[in-house]
This record gives sequence, C-alpha cells and structure tokens, in this order.
Amino acid sequence: MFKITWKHIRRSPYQALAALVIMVLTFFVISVFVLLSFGSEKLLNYFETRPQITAFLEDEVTKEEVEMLKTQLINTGKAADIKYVSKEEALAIYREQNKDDPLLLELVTADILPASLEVSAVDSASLPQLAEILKGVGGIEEVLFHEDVVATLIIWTQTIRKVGLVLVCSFVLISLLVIMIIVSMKISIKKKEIGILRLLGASTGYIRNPFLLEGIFYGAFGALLAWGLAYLCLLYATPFLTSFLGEISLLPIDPLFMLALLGSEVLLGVLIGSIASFLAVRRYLRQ
Amino acid sequence: MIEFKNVVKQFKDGTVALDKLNFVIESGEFVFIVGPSGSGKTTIFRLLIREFLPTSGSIFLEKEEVNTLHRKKIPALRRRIGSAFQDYKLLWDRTVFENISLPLEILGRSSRETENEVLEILELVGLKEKGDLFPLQLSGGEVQRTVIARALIAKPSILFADEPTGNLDPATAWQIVKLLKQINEKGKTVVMATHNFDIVDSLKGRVISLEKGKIISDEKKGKYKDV
Repeated sequence: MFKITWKHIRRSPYQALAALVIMVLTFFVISVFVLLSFGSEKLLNYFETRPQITAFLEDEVTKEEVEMLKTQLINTGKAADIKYVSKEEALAIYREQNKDDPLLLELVTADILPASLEVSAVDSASLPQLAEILKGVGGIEEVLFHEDVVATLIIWTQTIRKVGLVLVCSFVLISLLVIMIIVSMKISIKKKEIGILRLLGASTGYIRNPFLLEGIFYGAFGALLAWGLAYLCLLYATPFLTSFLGEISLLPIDPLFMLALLGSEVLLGVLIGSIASFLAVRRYLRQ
Repeated sequence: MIEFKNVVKQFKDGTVALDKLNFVIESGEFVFIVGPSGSGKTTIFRLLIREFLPTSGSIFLEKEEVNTLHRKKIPALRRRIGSAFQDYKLLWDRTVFENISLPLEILGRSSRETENEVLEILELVGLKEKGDLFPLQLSGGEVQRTVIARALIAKPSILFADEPTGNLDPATAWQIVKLLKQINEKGKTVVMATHNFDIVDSLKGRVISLEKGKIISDEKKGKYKDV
C-alpha cells in the first residue's frame, strides 16, 4: 500500500509539491497565529498581574500617613493588594534595571527617587475609582495606572484571535480544495489503469487506499514541515524578542508546548488530507 | 465448471446480445466459442466476470451464482478467472514484467515472490528476454503472450481468451493456440472465443457456435459453422 502511494507521489512530483506547499503554508499560518495568540495571552496575563496603579509619594509624607492611606484604600473593598516601595527599594529597582549602565547608576541616589504605593485592584473596572481616591488625598505627587495598557492588550489579543481564525479557516478550506483537486486529477489520469485493475480483480480498497494515504501524507508531512519552519523562525527571533520583551518571561517557549502544537497540527493535517482525498475518491472512484 | 442457464442479455438500446443461452463447461475442458463479430462471444466473457449483469437467467462458476454475487465479492470472482482481453488491456507505460506482475501486486505478494513467479511465466510463454521491454516494443504475438502470461500469473483455474489470435498472422496464431493447449494440458479450463476457422477445424475440440446471440451448435469434436 505504502509502496503504491509512494509510486503515485513520485510519478507526479509537481502535483505533490503543490499539495505540500499549500499544506506548509496553511500550517505555517496556523503555527504563527497559535504562537501569537499564546504570546499575547501571556503578555496580557503579565500586565494583569502587575500592580495596576503606582502612586508616587511626596518626600514629606510620613509612614503614619502612608498607613492611613493604605487603610483608606482597603476599606473601599476595591483594592486587592497594596505594597509600599520605599526610596531605598526604588533605588534597588532602578539599579537592577540599569545595571549595565554605570553612568546612570552614578547619577542617581535614593534621595531623588520617590517612594511609592503599588496598588492592585480586585477588578480592572475599579481602577479609575482607586486612582481618583489617590489623586484626591494629599501627599501624592503623581498617579499612574496601567488600565490603558491592559485594555489595549485585550483588544490586540482579541483582534489577533479573530484575524487568525479567519485566516486559518480560509487556508484550511483552500488546502482542502487543493488536495481534493490534486487527488481528483490523479484519479482522472489513472482512470484507464483503475479500470484494468478492477477487471483483474483489484478490490475497492486496493484502488482507493493509496489515494487516501496520499492525501494523509500531504497533510501530515506538510504540518511537520510547517511546524519545523515556524519553530526555526521562533528560535531565530528569540534573542531579539527576549531583549524586546525585557522582564516579561515569555521566551524561550516551553518545548512541551511546541510538541503539543506539533501533535495537534499533524492530527489536523491528517484530518484535512483524509477528508480531502476521501471526498475526491467518493466523487471520482464510483463503481 | 461454468454454467449458463437461460441467459438473456439485452442492452439499453434494445440489442439482444444473448438469447436464452444454455451451456456447461466442465473443469479441464478446452472449448472454442465461435461465431462472427457481434454474435455474443465477448458478452459471454463480460457476463462471466460480472462486468455487467444478464437481463435474465443465471450464470454459475463452480457452485456460485455469479449474477447474484454481492458487489464486494466481485474482485475475488475476477481473480478466479484468467482474463486475456481482446483489446489486451495492458498498461502501455509499464514494462512487460510490470504488466504481468499486476495480478500478484493485487494479491499483495512480496517483490521476491513476484519476481520468481513472473520469471517462471515469462519462460512458459517464451518471453524470457523481453521482461524489461514496453508493450509497444513487442510484436503482435508477443503482446498476446504478455496478455496470456498476465492472465495466468495468479494461477486461476479458468483461462478465458477473447480473440487471442485476432490480429496475428497464421504462424503466430498457431503458436498462441499451442500455448493455450499446453496450458490446458496442465489441467486448466481454457475457453477461447475466436472466429479463426482454420484453428478451430484443425484442433477438433469442443466448439460452441453462436449466431446472433443464440447457440446454433455445441459439438464435442466440432467444426466452425460458417454462417
């Protein structure tokens, strides 16, 4: 069976190449969008778990006033977590962030950095209210909150998913049709041979299965190649992406996740290939 | 054993190809089916391998009724009959060796088994040196031998040769008939449809004569009835 399938593929290499190219393209797009979706989800998760409001305190604010402010915020029931970052801690953070730039480290001392309160909200809808409370009390120099970042990321994630879904569906449909057409063409070309084989006593399975197997081969092999290609691109871009993302620990991607992606893609490839060739066989190999 | 019982075959255009045909061919017989073109010789063959169904009547191969056979059992039926088609039905882009090995491929034989058996049959039909050639590179007689070799390779109990001498010169035609006779002497049932009266008359075997789809004679040591 495998020998006959391989013979079919070898005897029409350009058709096989066309089928493989479209499958690789489809699964490359799938891989890219799965990785993008996974990445944006992690990014979103990172920002959601960060302190969402940072209130920089004036130097004159005493510890008692800070404690009072904390109590006031907790009493609203909208703050999930409040962390006080002292001037020294701010300097330590600053040093960690600029450890590669001695010039910047020399210029800054704890005195010029403000102490701050990092506040997380129970839900992101409460952020503006908490920010308003902080802006309203005395001793607060500036209030920053990440609501915009999170909201933008949510929109991006949703857009990536929607665009990805439409593109993936279109490519799956195109590859299904291309494989169906290629297998149908092969059946048409071999019509005479199939007729002779039938007269010589070949069973339906003997005639049909190599065509089915051919479709499955295109699907599975195309998925494997596309996955390899996407992984290579990702590995190639990892150094750049790592420095770009900074402290967001997105990369390197878990190999188990990549293996799961490979498994799912090969499975989907087998499914697309077998459905396409089954439809071609059903249409063109009627007794 | 092949048995045709009251077999009628009428095509959609109204042509009656076979009209109440009755005959029995016992195992190991050598039978000529003779008659002019359009008398129904090929129709008998095509009904036997279930290429189509009779309009009425029954066809038996051994004890099995061919015309009521389930569709899934047709391939197995066809494998029991060695078919040498009038129009050869060879794959012209495959070598003689590849053509002959087709029935073994269908049976799933290994490459080594196939090679041994094909070489054996090539020797039997006198094409030992021609295995690597394509059918187009062969003479008419050699093409016919290839067809017979392919029909015999899976060792069927019956060989049905439809006009195997149709396009051949008398000398080559005789070689083919001798080959068929040789195959029959090895115990196979051989049915040969022909309108070559020289061969039929010389061999003095069983002759079933057809005319317009009807049997006009069935004689043990018959001759070609010229109609």
